[in-house]
Amino acid sequence: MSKTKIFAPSRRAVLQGTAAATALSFDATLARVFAQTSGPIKIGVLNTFTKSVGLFGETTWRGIETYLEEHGNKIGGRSVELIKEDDEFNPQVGLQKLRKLVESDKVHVVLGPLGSHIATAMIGYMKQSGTPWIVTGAGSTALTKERMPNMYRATLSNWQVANPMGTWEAKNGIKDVVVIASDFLAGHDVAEAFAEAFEKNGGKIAKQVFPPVGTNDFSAYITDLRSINPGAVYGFFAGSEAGRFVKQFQQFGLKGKVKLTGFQSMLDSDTFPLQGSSAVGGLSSSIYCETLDTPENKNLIARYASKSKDLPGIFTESGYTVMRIIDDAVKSVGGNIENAADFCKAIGKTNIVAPRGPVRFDPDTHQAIQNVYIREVHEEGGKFVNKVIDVVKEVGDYPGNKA
Amino acid sequence: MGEFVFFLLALAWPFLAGSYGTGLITEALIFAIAAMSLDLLMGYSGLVSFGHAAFFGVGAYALALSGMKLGLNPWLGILVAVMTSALAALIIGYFCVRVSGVAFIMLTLAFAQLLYSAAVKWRGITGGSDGIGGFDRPQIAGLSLNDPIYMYFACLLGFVLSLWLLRRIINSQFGHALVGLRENETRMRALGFSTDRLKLCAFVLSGAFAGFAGALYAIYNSFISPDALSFAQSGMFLLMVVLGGVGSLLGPAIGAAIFLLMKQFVSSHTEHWLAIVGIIFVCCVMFFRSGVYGFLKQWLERGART
Repeated sequence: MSKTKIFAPSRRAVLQGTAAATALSFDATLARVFAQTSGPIKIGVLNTFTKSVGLFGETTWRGIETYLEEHGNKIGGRSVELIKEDDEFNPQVGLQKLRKLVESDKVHVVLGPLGSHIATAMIGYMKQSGTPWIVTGAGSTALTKERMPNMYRATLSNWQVANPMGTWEAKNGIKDVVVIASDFLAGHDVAEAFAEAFEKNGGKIAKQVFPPVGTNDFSAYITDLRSINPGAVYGFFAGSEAGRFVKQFQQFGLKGKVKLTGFQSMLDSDTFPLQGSSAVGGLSSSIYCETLDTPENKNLIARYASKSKDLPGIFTESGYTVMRIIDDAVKSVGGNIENAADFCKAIGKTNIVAPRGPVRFDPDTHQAIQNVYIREVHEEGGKFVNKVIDVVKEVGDYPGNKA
Repeated sequence: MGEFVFFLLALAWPFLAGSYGTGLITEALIFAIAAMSLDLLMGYSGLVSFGHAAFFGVGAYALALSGMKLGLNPWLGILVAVMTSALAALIIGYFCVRVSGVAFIMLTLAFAQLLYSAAVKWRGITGGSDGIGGFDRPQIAGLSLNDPIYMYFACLLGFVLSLWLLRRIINSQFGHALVGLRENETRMRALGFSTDRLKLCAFVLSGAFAGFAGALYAIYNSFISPDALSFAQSGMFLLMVVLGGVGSLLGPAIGAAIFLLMKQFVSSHTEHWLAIVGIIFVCCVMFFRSGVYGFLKQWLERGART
């Protein structure tokens, strides 16, 4: 080994560096130990804050902050410490972060994740650890089939939102539908739930197609759609794909001939900037609508205005409402969130009117029971919004998930 | 001597660190096995594989599926996983060893991507992008691997066993032939070695060890998804090997630990952790040509002399 020396720190420098680094990390550990004995309620927020879906994590986070600001950063009379971890939309990373939150940060409750694949990965570990876990985002229908005592889903299940839409369309004069859904698990979940209800109520599924994730050019699918010429198309896409599909649907001249309908994520406030006027008139179902005319929702809109120029979307509302659920549960156990079993039971007794409407939990599967709104896209003063045209009240979990 | 101290520390670790620290090192040990298996190819045989996650993932899926679909005992499952990965390496290696250089890199990458899409698309078997989860960790003699300390020692045992076996391989005549292959393939052929067969053997052995690591990983996480097969994962293995020191076996193991710990700590503080890890990586490549292990070794030797 007779290479030229490029970098050779003196031993003292290295030792000093190491000592400094050790001292730093030791300090951090100490701080953690002390925080454990007295102190704040620790909430671990495991969500996706980067990658293409990072926006959803950010808006969830803002909803959480909105609630805390409204309540003086206190929950059940105790101060709150939020610990934010990014799962990078990767289940392996999600598990690493989950272990850190539970074992190192010793959080009292875990919120998240966004991805169903990450939620699936978390099941084994969470069963073991017993840490209270409220799912915000992940929609996989099968998730609540686990019926874990320490897991509640405060947001939608794919079945819950897609199934009522199938019934609604069949009962509102649509006779045949082409289902087009992104080819990953959620897409299949949604397509199946929609088709089941639509056919049960006398509708006919003309065709089901599953374009691969990341499709840029939908022309082949849309040409096919034109030749079938069904009463409506039911779509499941999210993010930029939803933007492209709806735009191309209009560009190919199908708008006005075939009714555009879809899942919540296809026609939502975060896709409108990509879709513009091509979204107008589109129908979708969701557990939330930004223009709901209730005092709870108006309050959220007013408070959120200081954080963003946009109206709150489904994820902001989820972040806000999940904090309300925790707040109520902590109050009902007299602030003693450390008793996980009692705290979980208290969550199960949730009965609130959130901005989205009334929310309670299925005692068996722990899925939130909530209203599903049928919404139509409108243009209002240059802005695009969803408006409620019908409500399906208190929709529960997929019956197949029950014991 | 240094290794002995290391080993003692490893034995005492779960009692020094809490359950979180134990879990971290458990994961590091698992990735260390995978990184060492890649080093057998990269460092000793001169074959840079950009698809090593394929064997890691195949092992993990084999363990999960043999348990879920066939009801096999996880201990047998590990054996099945190792054999399946070796078989996959045999098939993939059969094609790959025929080419060298960039073509070899690309071909290994292509095969890994092939398996990745299979895992995503074959929903009935692999659970698609959501993966397979919720299987229980096995028990041995009444000791459940659900206990983080037993899980740790199981992985430590696996690591020591792998290190020992890989060293035996490298120090054998076969191992020396592999090094000859790395240094001068033409000459080895002129000497009468069947170089393709040698390469294939190295490929299969390496795949088997990666599969072993994958099986342990599936047990550790009680979960497996296509991300374990992704080319980001393959890239991570490469980084671990280069960071630790190519061709030093223990180096890549250290590289794996450094990479995981660094990632864990940096990413909790900033979302731009990749940029920081990237800068550290660039510095390592520029200043520690022989990796962290090589640097440490040089430093210790110099210290001993003065």
